[in-house]
Amino acid sequence: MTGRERIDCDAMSEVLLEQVLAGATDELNDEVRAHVSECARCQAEYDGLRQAYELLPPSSPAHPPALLRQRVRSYARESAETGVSTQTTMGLVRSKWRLATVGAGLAIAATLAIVMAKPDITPVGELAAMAPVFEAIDVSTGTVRSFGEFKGQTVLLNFWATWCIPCESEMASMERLYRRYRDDGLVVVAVSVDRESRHKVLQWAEQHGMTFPVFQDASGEVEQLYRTVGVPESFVIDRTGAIVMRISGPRVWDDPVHSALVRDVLNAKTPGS
Amino acid sequence: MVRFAAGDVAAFDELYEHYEAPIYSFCLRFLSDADSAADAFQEIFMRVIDSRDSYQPRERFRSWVFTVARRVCVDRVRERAHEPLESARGIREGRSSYEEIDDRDEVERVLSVLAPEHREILLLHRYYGFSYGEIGEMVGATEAAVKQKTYRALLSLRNGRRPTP
Repeated sequence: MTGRERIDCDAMSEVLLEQVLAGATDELNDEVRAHVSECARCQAEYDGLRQAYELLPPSSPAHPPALLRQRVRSYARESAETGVSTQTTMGLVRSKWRLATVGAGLAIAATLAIVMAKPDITPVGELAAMAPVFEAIDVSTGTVRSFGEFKGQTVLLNFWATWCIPCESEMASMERLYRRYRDDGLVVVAVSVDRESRHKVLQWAEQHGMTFPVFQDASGEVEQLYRTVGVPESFVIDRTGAIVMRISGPRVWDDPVHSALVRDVLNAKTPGS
Repeated sequence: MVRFAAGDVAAFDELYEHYEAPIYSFCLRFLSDADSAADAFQEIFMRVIDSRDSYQPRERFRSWVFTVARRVCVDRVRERAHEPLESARGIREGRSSYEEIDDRDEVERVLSVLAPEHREILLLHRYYGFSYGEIGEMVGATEAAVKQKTYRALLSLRNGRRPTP
């Protein structure tokens, strides 16, 4: 290496790394190759880096499931249509630990409860269970009704209670969602798990302006049937009667994400349609 | 992004088509878990959508979106460290899409032996072509530190090698 500056072994590490990561494992320049051939330490280092590099397989792109793509695009459209940044709303829905700052008063109290409730979503997909049919008291009439009445329709089934603080704000968003999509065929059924008389449940429903059917499951049998773990808990059921989504914890049902989700289920094609 | 911020949804579609596979692949390979990757993927793009009005055009979109992706994935790793395994469920399309555990992406399988900080750097440099300087900006480190980590990541890979199935 007469006339050339001696290559420092420490600096060589970086050079070798660059060359290996560039895939140029067989194309070391003359100077580097000469040094490596004369320096056992750098030779060992080079061999080690090459071995590691050769463990890295070629890249092949992975694509997300179609449902994810639909949701993201739906969300983009909803956001663009409303013309308002939905960051605050999405913070409320997505965040497990951050405090969202939506509105004041009751909304803030509900938000705190929502954040602490640690919501969870489980789509059931192709292995969806069929929604069990049950009978319960319609609180507005006091008569027994069957969930089977809603066969063939898209249903948002919600379990709630008058004493459940997060249920209160969630119910308002469910009412807004219902009004938006009821003409498109959406059914919302809210099943109260209160043990008290139906009149208390009815009074609560009327005070909160609920216009969809409100049932009462004082015995707890329907809760057991659906294996709920608490309130609020919701099930999105498609027209075939399959449970396509199970949601534990409260949601803002008319926000872009959930609105899009419900719309997707409403618009989904069923066999024979 | 500027067009999207002005209300042009087709502009978002273009961006999405371009970055869907790279971002999803990144999440999958970083998190080594399809459920978490799906959850992170949705979160990333929703942040992109929510930030359209505050996005600064002077910043390269590619660097920006991968910075967002990296932060979301790092958050997921931290959350998982504090959650029981059975409760760490993400959003999934359906169980059938994710039962291919034995057919995980080869890159994902190979990199899963690495610590998250080494995994992300190798991913960003080797597979997504970011320079050391760009990676340094994303992770808040100097270029020299990133090179060092890359070097250690490769050595860890070699030393932590799992037998191929």
